[in-house]
Amino acid sequence: MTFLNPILLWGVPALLLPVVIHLLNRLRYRSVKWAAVMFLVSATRSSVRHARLRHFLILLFRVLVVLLFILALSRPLIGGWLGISIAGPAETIIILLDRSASMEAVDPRQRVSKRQYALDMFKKEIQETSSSSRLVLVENVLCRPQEIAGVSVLDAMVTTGPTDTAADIPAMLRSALDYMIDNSTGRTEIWMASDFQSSNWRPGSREWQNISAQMASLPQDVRVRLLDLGETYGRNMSVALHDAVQRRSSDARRLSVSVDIARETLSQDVFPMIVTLDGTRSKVDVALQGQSMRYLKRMEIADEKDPGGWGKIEVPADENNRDNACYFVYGSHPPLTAAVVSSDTESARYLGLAIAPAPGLVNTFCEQSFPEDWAKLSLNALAMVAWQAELPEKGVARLVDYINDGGSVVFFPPSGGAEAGGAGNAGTNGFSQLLGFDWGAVDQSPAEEPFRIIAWEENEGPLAGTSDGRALPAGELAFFRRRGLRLSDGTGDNWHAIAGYQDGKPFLMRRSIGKGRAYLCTSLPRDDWSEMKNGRIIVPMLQRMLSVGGRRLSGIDFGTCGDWKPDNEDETWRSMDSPDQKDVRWHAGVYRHGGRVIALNRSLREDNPEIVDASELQDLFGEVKVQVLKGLEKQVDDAVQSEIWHIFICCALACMMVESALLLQEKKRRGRNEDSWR
Amino acid sequence: MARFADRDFIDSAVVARLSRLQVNAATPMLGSVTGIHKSATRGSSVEFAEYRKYVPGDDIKHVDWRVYARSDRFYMKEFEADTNLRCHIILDTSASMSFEAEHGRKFDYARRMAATLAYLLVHQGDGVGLHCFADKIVHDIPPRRTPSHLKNIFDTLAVVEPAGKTEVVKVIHDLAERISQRALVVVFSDFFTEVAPLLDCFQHMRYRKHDLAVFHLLDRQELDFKFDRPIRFDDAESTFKLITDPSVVREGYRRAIDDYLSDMLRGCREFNVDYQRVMTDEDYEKSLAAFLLQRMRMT
Repeated sequence: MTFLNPILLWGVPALLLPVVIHLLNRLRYRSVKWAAVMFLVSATRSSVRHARLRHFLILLFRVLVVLLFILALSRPLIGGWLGISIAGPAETIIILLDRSASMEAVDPRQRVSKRQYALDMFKKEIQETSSSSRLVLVENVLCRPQEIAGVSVLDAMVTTGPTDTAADIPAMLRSALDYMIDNSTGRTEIWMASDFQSSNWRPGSREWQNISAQMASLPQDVRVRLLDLGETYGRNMSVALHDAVQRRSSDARRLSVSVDIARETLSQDVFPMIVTLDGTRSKVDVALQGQSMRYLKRMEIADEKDPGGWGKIEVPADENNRDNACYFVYGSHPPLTAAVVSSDTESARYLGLAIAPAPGLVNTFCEQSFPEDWAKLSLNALAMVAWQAELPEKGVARLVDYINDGGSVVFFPPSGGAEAGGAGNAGTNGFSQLLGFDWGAVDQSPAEEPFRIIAWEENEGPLAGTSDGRALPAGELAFFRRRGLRLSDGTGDNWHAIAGYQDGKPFLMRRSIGKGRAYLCTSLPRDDWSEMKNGRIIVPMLQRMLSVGGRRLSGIDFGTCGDWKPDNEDETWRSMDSPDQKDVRWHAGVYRHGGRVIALNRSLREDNPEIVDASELQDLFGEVKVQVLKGLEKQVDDAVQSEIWHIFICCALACMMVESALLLQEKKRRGRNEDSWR
Repeated sequence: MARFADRDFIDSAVVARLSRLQVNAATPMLGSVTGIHKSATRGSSVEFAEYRKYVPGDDIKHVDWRVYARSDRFYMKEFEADTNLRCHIILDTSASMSFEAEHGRKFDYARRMAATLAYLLVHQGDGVGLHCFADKIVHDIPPRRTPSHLKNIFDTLAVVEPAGKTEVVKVIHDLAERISQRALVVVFSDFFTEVAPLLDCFQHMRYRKHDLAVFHLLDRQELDFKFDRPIRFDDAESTFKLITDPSVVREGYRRAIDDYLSDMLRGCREFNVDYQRVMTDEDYEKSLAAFLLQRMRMT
């Protein structure tokens, strides 16, 4: 138990006040010379025991009254499931179940996963305290409310099972909030169970402010009870696919699969890694130095395996088996063609070189187009479009459909237009509204202190490290000019920063639209803009964007479990890696639908060890009452709890009534004695 | 007759009013001279007492010849004898009698009653003795019926002050043995001792054929026990002290003293002891008048 006004606890010595008054009263006696002492002595023997007990009880209740008032004024907070019992059952309980991959970590003491523990805990508490409440389940994959008849069905539901997905906590809360707005839920409690992964909670998102404000303004009483399952056990090892590239040499085809291996301890230096290629398993002993490494596995592929196949890499079982495997597919790649739409000759030239540095060797080609001619491009055959011009005003739907279909579009700032300090496009057109951004003013760096990239995603994405584990030299480049970005309020949150300058402004951003991706790069490969012309950043960056866009054309694909969705619900995707029934919506694996093959891996966000600090929670939820319960330790976290001062006031009043009753009883008894003597 | 001017314990007006009443004995007395009390022996008064058979040696002048004529037997006619009595006033002078509430000391109350009673007895020709006691008899004046003797009694009452422990049981036993002739014994005390031994000594006194009257002096405060704050009670007869909250012990105290008084009253009735409970806030003249009237009705 904690207190909002703990300073008032210094008043606890006031408990002695009734005792001191009692003692002082006893000391203030007067002397009487008495003859009938013999009766006094016998009366003292018989009466004192009961009277002392009664007086002790009166004194005790007086002390309790003082204590309870002091405690009430100190505004105590209480947590734990006790708080639920005190508050009474809610009319509606919305269970937000985080069944992301990280929630499958098994506590060695409980021998159940965090997800299962949370389900068991919820079932038990609902059965004991809130069996009459309406139950609604919101889980992280479908992210839509499901009304359930009772807790007994929770275990049987497919939407409460384990997944390889990541969770989007603000989206889950938004779904719960929409349900509360659309339905008269009465007094509502949101029961959440989470391991507080920062990547799932996204504490920096502005969505939190909207959610907390709307939740607090709801007419019904809303409370959030949060089961904290953030404990880690320090024995986990994970493997994640970095890249799977098929290369053809003169004599053979080789598949290079690089994986990132990470673990929490240094206890095991050599471990067996199981590599499965087209169903054939082999074991490789891997020596792991340090806590993480990138491992490159090269495999020969027979020609008859053309056009492609699949594979899987596994590490030994540990506390969380959901992150012990990653999947890949390979196949023959058609030539990849990209288009550069630019009115700036210098930029267009270097962008074209970065996309197709040696067309005969790397099987990539580049087309050049002016902005006014871009409608003539055949987008269906393009793996990527590099747009270095003002944003288009015509043919917007065509370009958006291209991205939705899986294409990649990278936007570079127009080289002309507004100079430093000036505005870019005077107004926003339809395209910028759809994508949620617009170009701002050109920003010139001081001559002696150019802009530099200081933070970027090194594990995945266009600026990820090389297959041998080395990071791209993004930090070494100097940028002299950059263009500002104006992200619109409605859709701007969907843009995710991949790399940023030292002043926090973005260098590269990404947004997923449909099956494709759009990128924003705020500088240009021009001498007066940056050192990108040296190719150390822009070549791998554009090649990777091209590769992602090219999957649309190859028939093989990689996706993130949970994020990737079939084009329509009628498609039947069957698992290739396991005879067990797997659901493409939330299980990682290799799936086939007709001629299309996809390798779905768990989201790398699940490997992010960063968690949200408990002190941040109250900020995230704003004025919404939040109670955090330490789940597996069965301890109450005192950081965020609810007030129970009114209970202390009630107890104090009850004590006063008991004390008054004792006093009245004694007074009545005295009166009766007086009457009998008169 | 003693002068009252210097005796604050005797009030001439009270004495004058009470003189119209007699102090009667409840049982026949054995006096030395003719008096107003019925004697235990037959005498020569005009009041017929009984017949008895003639025995040789009887004076034939008391033979009832009319009875002889009717029954041919000799019966002697006997008459009541009137005699005086001896009254022993036993006054408790232990320290407990010094208890003083708003109506004064119990001892002063007892002294006034004893002095008035002594005066009335001497006034009607009876002998009065005074025995003041605490743990033993401290003043012992044998009964005489002369007015000068009354002065001795008053002088003693004037000087005696309550002090020492009470040994009422022992003293009454002693006096029961020492008082040879049947007499009226009047005890003034608070009797704060165990009831059973006290009743034993009363029985002893009755066994010796004494007419025993006890004045049980109590203060209203001792009965009501009306105190509201913690009080240290100092025993009047010892160094014992008890600090207690009266509200705590009041019920038990009252129960104890109620039981004690009930036992006392029952025992006195059983042994035919004239028990008079006297509250010191009442007028002593009234108490004494009630006592005398009750006695007069008995005879």
